[in-house]
This record gives sequence, structure tokens and C-alpha cells, in this order.
Amino acid sequence: MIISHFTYSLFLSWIVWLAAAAALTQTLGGGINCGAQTYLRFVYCSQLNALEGFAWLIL
Amino acid sequence: MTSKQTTILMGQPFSQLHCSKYFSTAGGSLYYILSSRLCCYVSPAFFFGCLDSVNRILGFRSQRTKYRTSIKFDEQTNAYVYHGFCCSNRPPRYVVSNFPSAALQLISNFRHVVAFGALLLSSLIELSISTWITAKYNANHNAPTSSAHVRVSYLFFMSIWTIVFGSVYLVGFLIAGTSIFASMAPHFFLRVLFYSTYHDNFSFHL
Repeated sequence: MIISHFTYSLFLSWIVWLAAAAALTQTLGGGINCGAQTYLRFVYCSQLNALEGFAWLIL
Repeated sequence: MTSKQTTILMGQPFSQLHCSKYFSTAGGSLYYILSSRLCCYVSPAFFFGCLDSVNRILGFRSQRTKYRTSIKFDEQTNAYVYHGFCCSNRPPRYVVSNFPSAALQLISNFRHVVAFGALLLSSLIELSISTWITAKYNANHNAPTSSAHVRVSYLFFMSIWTIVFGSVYLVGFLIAGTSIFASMAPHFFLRVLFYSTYHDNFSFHL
């Protein structure tokens, strides 16, 4: 159980969550300033920011 | 290693869960409701400790119990024995053994539950947000780029992944936290599945 836990938690899940969080961060350009969008590109601005933040938290 | 650890493990709890019919408190009835299922998952010493706290907070006091909960070291079996507070005139229910090594003690039950609880909570929030955004993108076709759609969907998948495997490891550590390999993991689900056919209202039979 412990070896399985380390394999899962420290290796596999960490890498995959890193990929997910980094991909979303790259898509959002590091995070959106919701008040300063020149045109409405990211419609769900605050939700996307929250998603990115929790993704880095889970990582 | 014979040093006395106070960490609680599962000794022989499953076949001797008779305590529920001796409860007359709110926590007892709560336990009675939950006992048919959840006692397979939760360490009974931990469970009864929480139950004792609930009864103290609510001010209930069972007529048959004197709150003589104690964990004593049995020299003959070289293990810790949990003397439940429910039936003190009965032989002890729960054998609490010590950890096999100090290295395995690094992962204690409480810390593990807290850490995985935080992980599961964050994953649940992540799941809700990504589900909502994915549904909106699918319905309104207003994703800024296709990569945003794909990556939010990927986060949706990852949160489900983490919730599923995090729950498995949370329960698995509570049941078999010291077993080195996860060879017992499929056994848990099978046992939980088949336990319902064997139990009467008060006990489980191995």
C-alpha cells in the first residue's frame, strides 16, 4: 500500500497535474485580468482563474 | 520492535461488532444506522472515539456506559487492546497492535486523513468549476480557443481521477495502512460487496 501510494501520489499524479495546470496557465497567459479585457475573449473569466488556482493548489 | 506505539490499527474488529444494541444515545443510533455499511471502512477505535466525543458534546450519556474508554497494553498478546466504552463487562473488542517499524509510523492515520481530505476537497471544487465551464463551452460554443476547451476538459478528467483514486487511498490507508503492497486493494471492494449478505443487524462474520 505504501509503495503503491508513493508510486501513485508522488510520481504519476504529480506529473499529470503539473501538465494540466501548466497547460491551462499557458492557455490563459498566466492568468486573466478580468477587468482589462479589451474585447470579451474569455467569457468565464473568474471561473477560469479559479480553475487555474485550484489546479496549482492540488499539484 | 516492541516499543509501545499508540497508533491504532485494526486487530480483529470485524467479527465482534456487537456494540450497537447497547447504545441508547443519539450517537448510538447514528452508529446503528451506519454500522451496517461503514464499519467495514473506519477503524473502530477511531470511530468510537469520535462517537464518544459526539455524545459528550451533545450531553447524552448512555445508561449502560460509564465512558471507561481506555487503551491498555496487553502483555500476553503484545498488543494494545481497546476497551470500548459500550460494554465494559464484556471482553475487550478491539485489539490495537503496534506498528511493525518506525518508518511505517511516518504515515499516521490522522495526518493522512487530513491531507487526503484537503486533496479531495480541492478536487471536488475543481471538478465543479471545470464541469460548469465545459458544459458552457459545449452548449454555447464560446470557447476562446479550442485548446482552452480541451484543457478545461482535461482538468475535468483529472479531478475525477483524483477523486476516485484519492478516495481509494484514503480508505485503503485506514484499513491497511501498514501493508507494503497494495495487493489487498481489490479485496476491500469485494469484501464490502459481499459483507452485506452475511451480516445481521449487529455483527459481521468473517
